[in-house]
Amino acid sequence: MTRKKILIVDDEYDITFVFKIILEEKDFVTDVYNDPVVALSKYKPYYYDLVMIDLKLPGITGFELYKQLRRIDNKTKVCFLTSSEQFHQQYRTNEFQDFDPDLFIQKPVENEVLINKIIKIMEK
Amino acid sequence: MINPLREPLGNSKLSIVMGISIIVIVIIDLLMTRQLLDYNHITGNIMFILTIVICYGIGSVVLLGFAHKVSRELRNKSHLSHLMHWTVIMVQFGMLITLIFMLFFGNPGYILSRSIFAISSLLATAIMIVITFKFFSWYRASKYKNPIVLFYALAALTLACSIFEDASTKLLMVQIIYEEPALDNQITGSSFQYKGSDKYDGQVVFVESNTDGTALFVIPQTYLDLYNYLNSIILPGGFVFRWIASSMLLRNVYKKIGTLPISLWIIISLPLVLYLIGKMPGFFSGESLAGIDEAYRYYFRVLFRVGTIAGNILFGLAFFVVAKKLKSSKVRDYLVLAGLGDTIVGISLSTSAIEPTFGVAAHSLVLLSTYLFTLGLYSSAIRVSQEMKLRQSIRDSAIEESKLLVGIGSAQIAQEIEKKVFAVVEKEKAELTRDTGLQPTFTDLDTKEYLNSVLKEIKIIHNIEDIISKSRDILLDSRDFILCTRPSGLRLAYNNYFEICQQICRAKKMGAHNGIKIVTSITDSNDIEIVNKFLVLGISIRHVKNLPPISFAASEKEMIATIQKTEGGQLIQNLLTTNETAYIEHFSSIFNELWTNGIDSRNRINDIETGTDNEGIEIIQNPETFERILHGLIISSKEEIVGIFSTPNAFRRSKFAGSLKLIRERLETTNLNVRILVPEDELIYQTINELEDQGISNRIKIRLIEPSMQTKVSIVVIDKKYSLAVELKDDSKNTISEAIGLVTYSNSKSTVLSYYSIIESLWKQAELYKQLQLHERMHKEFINTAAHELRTPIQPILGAVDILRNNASSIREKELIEIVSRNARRLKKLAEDILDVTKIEGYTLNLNKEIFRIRDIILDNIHNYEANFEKSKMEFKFNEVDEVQIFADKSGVSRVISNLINNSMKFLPSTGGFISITVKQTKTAMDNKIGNMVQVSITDNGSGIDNEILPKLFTKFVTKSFHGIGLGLFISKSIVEAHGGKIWAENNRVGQGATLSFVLPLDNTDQNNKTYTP
Repeated sequence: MTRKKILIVDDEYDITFVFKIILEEKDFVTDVYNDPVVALSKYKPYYYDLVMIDLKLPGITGFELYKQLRRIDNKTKVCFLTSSEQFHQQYRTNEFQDFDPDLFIQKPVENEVLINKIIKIMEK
Repeated sequence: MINPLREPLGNSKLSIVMGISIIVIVIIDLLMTRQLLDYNHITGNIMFILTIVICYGIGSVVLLGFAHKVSRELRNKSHLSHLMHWTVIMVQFGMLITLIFMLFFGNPGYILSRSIFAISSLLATAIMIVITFKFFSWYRASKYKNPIVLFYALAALTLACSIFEDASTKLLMVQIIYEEPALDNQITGSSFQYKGSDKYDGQVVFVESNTDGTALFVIPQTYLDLYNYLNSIILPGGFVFRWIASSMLLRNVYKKIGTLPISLWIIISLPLVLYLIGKMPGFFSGESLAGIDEAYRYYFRVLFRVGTIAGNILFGLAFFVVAKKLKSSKVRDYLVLAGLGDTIVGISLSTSAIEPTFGVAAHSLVLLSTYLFTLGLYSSAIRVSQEMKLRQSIRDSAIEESKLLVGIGSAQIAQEIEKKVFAVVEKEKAELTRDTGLQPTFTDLDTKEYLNSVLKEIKIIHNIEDIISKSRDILLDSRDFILCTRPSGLRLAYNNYFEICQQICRAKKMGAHNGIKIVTSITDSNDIEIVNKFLVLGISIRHVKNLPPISFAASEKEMIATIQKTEGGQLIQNLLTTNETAYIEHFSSIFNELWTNGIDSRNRINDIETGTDNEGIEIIQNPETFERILHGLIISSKEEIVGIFSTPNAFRRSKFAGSLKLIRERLETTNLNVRILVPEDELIYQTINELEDQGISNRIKIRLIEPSMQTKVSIVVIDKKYSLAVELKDDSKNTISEAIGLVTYSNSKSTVLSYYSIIESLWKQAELYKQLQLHERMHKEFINTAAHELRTPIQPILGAVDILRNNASSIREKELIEIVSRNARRLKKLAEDILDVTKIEGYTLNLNKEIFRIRDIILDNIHNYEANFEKSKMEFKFNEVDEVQIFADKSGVSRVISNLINNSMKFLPSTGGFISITVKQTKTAMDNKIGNMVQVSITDNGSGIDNEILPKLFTKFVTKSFHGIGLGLFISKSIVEAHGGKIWAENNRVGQGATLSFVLPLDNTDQNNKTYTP
């Protein structure tokens, strides 16, 4: 079985570092970017099995990034990381109305839980 | 040149004598023509001669001469009168000549008699029509429609008709048939027959036979009915109307004396009765009385004629009686004339003119009599109206003059008035004479008499002396004395009877008098000065702000009141004095009212002297007065207006009434600052925005009051000097007038400043409250932000620690890692709890409901805990009694369960602890409804819950454990109750530990999906 490939875009270095370790331990191929612009420029469409975007990004919102990605890749699964409850709520009711709630992972999250959620999303 | 004839001609006595003579003659003539007096050729001629001489000769001369004199001015003015007069004179003269001719030369073909008859009747009719018109126009023109006038009008009309009818029927219907003198018993004579005759086919009325032949006056059968019919309707009609008019006139005259006695009524009614009875049977059969027995005919005729004569005399008498009552001699004369005319006309009309000698002569007197009647009435009418005019002008004159001559003295005034009025009257008289041609008969004596009566009506006493002396008298004679007057009146009293006041006060001390009480109005130092003079004597004096316009003084016996008026630039005092109890009581009660509402004069004086006299509190009962005062105060405000409105509507009403506009205008010219407190409302926000847009929101500040702090009174304080407190009566009304109740106005420092400080403290309070809310909000936001920020670093810690744990080698490392992990989790929990609390308290606990199985989240939680805690520590048991699906906030319910488990875990024993979770469906009563619920119970075998804490268990920050900040159960309660459920805790009855349970409604309808408010 091919290893699943996951892309994480989050401006917090610590988080991406830890996530990368967690995911790689579970045998996922993980790319991480802290800068959304760079992430976008280096994005490989249809390559990843899952893209995880943090909603709170510098310069560009997670949703914006998502839209940009969707322009060049309309098949890859995308899920979102949120830390702020408010943000979460807001987005849930506005931009992400039609989205499956399971696509939103709230930080902080235990490693186990994170993995489970990721697997679930990818299985859908 | 003195005309020797003029005197007797002008003498009314002579006229009366002649009149009576004429009447007598005519009566005899009547009786003879109506078969009541027999006559023969000789007596007939005698009567003829008498009639000519007395009626047409002397009588006409005297009466016409009188009329001539009387009507001089009238004739000069009126063309018609002139014409009438001379026509009558000429015709009468002509008739005289003709009659004399007839006497000596006979009456061939009866032409002469018939012409006389025709002419006199026609002219008489014309004259009667003139007077009829006059009567009708008088009736129409009069303000108070006098029925007497109307009836006279009708009487005149019917009389005119009668004269005309009589002449026309007799001249046109009666045929004269001549017979040859072949009859045997040829008598020179004539007689009235009234017998039907077949030979001549009609009724033979009259037969005259002489040597030349016989003339028969016949009414043809064909005309007979019509003839009788006309005679029967018109003549009696006239009689009846004249009777009515005359009796009404008589009644009017005697009205002043009293009702007429019955005897008089009988006398008056008798002629009418006789007339009607006499006429009745033969009503339509005319003179023949065909339907009656021969024997009785005579008597009926008698009755009828007596009635006629008596009636006519009565009619004339009516005028005579009225004339006697009148003062004016001239009018008397005219009425006598009219009376004579009235009598004569009736009687002569009844005389049958078919008799060619005396009959015609008597009948033709209708001309003279109608003329006298007309002239008499017309002249008297004019005269009376002139006199009325004069009376009116005297009256007006008197009033006019008395106004101008105040202060000279009453006697002087009376003299002056008389003089002036006489002058006016003379002028008027001259004018009237010029206008109507008749000289007014008002003499100077009449004027004086009338003037006095007018003056009495006005009740003028202008003399100040009178007023003073009257007051003095009342005072001297009193036991109680009350006085209500302005200080000017007091000064008058002081100047004139101060000693008496002193006397009375001494008497009071000795108990002989009840004392003097005075009510007055004190406004300045002059007033104080005079009031003090009375106060020194020990008299009680009180001050009222508004004195009545009447100054009055009263003892228990008598009172005096003076009314001051300014008229025509002069000050007039009218005096009323009476000892009528009703008046005294009335004024006493007015005094008492003033007394009770008055304030002691000493206090008032004190106030004035210390300058605090203007202060007070007033109750304003008229809403419009309030608006006026408020606007006035706003317009004159200079520094500051503060106010509090009871309701938003009050503000709306005030804005609508223009107060805000006035304030804005005021802002432009002064340093005015305005602060307003209003309860929250859309309009207020709008207004605030408007003010901001206009850039004046720093000068008109509006602060909002909590709705719970609304009052029912609006208060405004202007410049810290004036206050208005307005009660709200009905907030639903749209205008101030309808919405407000009582208003109190004050300019008293203590009141105004109290209100000011109340509003000031409310103002500060509003500010503080706003600040407080702001701080709270900021505070909450800070916590929120902080909590969020807290979560971010937790993630890497948790994550890294987990990784490390897996790679830990030594036990020590494992333990250290465990420590870090645990604490990181605690931090996470803490952050979440804080965030939850802020959510709850910030009213933003939104539930995102979905359908899920309870068991799922329970198992999730169990797994979670099992993954993170060493299994040896405790055991989880899941007891699913019912499998239940629920429509709820999944993460919320999960939180609750997690919190409860957490809570239990804190009290578990170190080993052998277990937590058992039970899920079952129940029916519970919630809010008066039985609903389906799912109950989740979490039981532990820990140390149980302290009884101290049990009641406070689900509140914030209550914990006996060493861990956590005590928010968990509070949050759980909030979430459960937001679903419409309930949460509770109890210690286990069996064994150790406690059970925490909650229920959540299963039916959607029971759940309130609204924002939770604690």
